[in-house]
Amino acid sequence: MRDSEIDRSESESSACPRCSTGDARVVARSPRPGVWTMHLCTVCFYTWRSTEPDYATRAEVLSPGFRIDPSRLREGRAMPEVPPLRDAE
Amino acid sequence: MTFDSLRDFLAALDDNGQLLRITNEVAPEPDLGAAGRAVNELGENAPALLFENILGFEDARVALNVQGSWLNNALMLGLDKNTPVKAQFFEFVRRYRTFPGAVERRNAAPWQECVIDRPEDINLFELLPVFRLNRNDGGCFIDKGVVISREPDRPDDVDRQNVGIYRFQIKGPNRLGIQPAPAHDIAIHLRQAEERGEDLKVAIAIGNDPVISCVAGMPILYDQSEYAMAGALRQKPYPIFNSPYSGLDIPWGSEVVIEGHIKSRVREIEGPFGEFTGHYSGGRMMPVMDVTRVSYRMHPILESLYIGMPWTELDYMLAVNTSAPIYVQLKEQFPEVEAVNAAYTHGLLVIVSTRRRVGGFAKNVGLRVLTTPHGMGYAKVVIVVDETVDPFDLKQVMWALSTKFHPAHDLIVIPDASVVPLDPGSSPPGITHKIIMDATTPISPEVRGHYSQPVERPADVDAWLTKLMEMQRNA
Repeated sequence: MRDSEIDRSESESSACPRCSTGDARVVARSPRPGVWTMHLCTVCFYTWRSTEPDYATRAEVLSPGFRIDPSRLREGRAMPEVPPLRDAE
Repeated sequence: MTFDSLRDFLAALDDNGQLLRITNEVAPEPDLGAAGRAVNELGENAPALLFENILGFEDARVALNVQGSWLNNALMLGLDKNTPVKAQFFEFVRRYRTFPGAVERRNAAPWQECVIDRPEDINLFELLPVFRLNRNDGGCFIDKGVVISREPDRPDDVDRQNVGIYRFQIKGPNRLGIQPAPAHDIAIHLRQAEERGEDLKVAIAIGNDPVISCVAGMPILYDQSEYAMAGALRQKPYPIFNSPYSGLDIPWGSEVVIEGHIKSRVREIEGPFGEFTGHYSGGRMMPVMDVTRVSYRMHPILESLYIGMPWTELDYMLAVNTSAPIYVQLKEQFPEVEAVNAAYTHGLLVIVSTRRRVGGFAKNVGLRVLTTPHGMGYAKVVIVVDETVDPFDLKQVMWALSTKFHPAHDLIVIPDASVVPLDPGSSPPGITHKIIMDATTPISPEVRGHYSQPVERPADVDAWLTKLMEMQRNA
């Protein structure tokens, strides 16, 4: 999908059901036109399809234990950890 | 009989009544995840599923549960579909011991038919019918692709080339998150690349013949070639094609090949994803892959597997292939070992049957399980039983545990040992106590218990068994 194909209403940012920031955008559309759109949160990388049940698309129905506080996004442990660079030879 | 591609194997499953085609339209969510779970609940003879009409797609197909039963695993090995699990195990071990098998390099591959070679033209959400599997997954995941990478310090050493299965979260049209657990071979490649400050070239091959998926999930040694192991297990050369784009060796018969690189020294939030432990894992900072090229067969099939509370396809797929290497490694020091069943949660629980050399012998066998390469990261609970107990028959194992095991004498606890961080009980993640339960019959000089008078099997049982089975068939 090229940007020009995204209609104006869908290209505007919408709220992410998981982290509640307003930085989600449409990143894909159904190959058969007009069936669904795929949305991506550019903050927490949550994705959802417009045709999914409420539990995946609406913040108030999303399981509470799976919501994310965007201010704590970088607190998770690295797996695997980033190793030190080798000394320049 | 061997299979060079997923399509060949699906045809064989169809011929054996082990494939259900779903031609009615299904929604990616929640239908595919729900059907994937449901087919696991059909039991040990469950078929594979092929979905041919996915909502919003013109020409997409999804295969699920391809290896999700003992029958399908027997067919993978070219055996009669009703071959008992223990017999599958011994045939698997026999072929494993012929390693290395032959590898056949071919000049072209079917997956070169269609190519998207400009990263900006790649949109995985539109190209493949990817879907959310479990409701609290962070998005769509690729969970049954085999991932190929080479060791940056020795890129020409094909034995150190790795083929493994790792989960990928689709985080954008051409961007993936990858989980390379520290104990897995790809983490060694990534560490070297990151020490050098370089990206790591990676190819993900999706939709494969069952043997390479089996080998990719198998705990073989770091410098053992997965393709040579596939050749051994097939007893026929394994076909590969060297990608001119990435220089990586890729299964010849794959449906879809995604090539790109893991970005050096980058971590970002990933998951969660419902895992093989029956629990979600995620919220960790994990590496990121940029996708730069996608190649695929005409009308590609997206192969995926349901993963969640055991038993699922994963548990069938990782049962014999996890048990066999542990068995062979134990046999090196303890020829008395009869069989190994590491089928439970990828070997977090292992059952070993063995003859006893001396009193207390089984405890040594149990301790050795913990120091095998796979046992170090799994094997949290080890049960040792007599050689007369079939470790693949839980009714027999529970009988041994309930009658032979004495808590005062037969329990060993190893504090704070290493385990895969995905074990939800580990605390901190990656650390757990481990136990060995000796449920073998004590022998001299370990004289205790009243085990000298086991009830014998009445004479002529076998004749009666045959007779009754015959009567039952004709009833």
